[in-house]
Amino acid sequence: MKVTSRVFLVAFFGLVAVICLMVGTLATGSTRSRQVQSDLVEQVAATIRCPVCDGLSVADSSAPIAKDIRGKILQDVHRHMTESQIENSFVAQYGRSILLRPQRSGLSALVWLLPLVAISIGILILAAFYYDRAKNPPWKLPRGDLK
Amino acid sequence: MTIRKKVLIIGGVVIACVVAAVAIGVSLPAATDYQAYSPLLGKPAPQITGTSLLTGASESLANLRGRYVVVNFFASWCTPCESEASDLEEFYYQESQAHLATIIGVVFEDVTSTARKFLIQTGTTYPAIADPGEKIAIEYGVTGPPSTYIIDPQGIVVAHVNGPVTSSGLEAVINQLRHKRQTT
Repeated sequence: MKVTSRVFLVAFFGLVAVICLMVGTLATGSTRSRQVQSDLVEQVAATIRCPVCDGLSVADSSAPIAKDIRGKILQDVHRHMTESQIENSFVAQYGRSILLRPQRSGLSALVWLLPLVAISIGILILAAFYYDRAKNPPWKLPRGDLK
Repeated sequence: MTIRKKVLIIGGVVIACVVAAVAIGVSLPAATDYQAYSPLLGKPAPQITGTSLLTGASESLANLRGRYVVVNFFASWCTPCESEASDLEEFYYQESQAHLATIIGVVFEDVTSTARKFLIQTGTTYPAIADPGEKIAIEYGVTGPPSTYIIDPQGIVVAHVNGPVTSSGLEAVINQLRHKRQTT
């Protein structure tokens, strides 16, 4: 075999290898991105209440409207909307009650904050009580009584 | 500061927080006896387009601008929808004569052929359209039929009723809205 033919063969197989590598990478990338999108759809669907069911998320419900809402979430994910943007779009149509968990902003944040505030106040009351008791113990006898 | 004073101050703060939370809750837009709250109130009505199930004519909310439009989400399997059908028809007959208000029905979670049969059986003559994929219902935030929205002549959602409506109830709401518009 001539040197030129050998060089041509090596170049040809090299090119085929590069193309296979590129196609493989693209296919894996697209599968992975599809998996990421599907995970995001499931994640958002689990936080949206099925409007016609009792306490079920659209991820868990088999109602036709739940299926349609999952379809809308998928469309929104394809439009590169974030999880909170999708949630907000449903809140704009149904109100805050469409979310199974309260939002972490606005008035709904009180649901997360109030228990923390209540616990802190409880700790402060207990601390004040024990501090006071340590300072003025009820069993402390007036001076001179031991004599 | 004695412990009693401290407890009184902290208790006062807690009570103030509870009162503030209740006040905020009360100040939120609440539903009246007849009407229900919707985040869409005061906002432009989402677009409605489709083909009339009875006539095959194309229907669009945009073409009805200049009149009050009652958007009614219904289904053939919904018993209250059946009970309100005659009232809606009566309202449509009265208002469409004067060209002051009209109705557009939107099918919710139902088979088109069954919905068409329902319209024929109940003697409905106003336009009603199918909503494949519940796209319109999701845009309006419908939680179940019957659900009715009233849209003003400028295309703004001005009222929402969850549950069956009556002809007199719709008249009252629209008259109230007309009166409000005239005085402002």
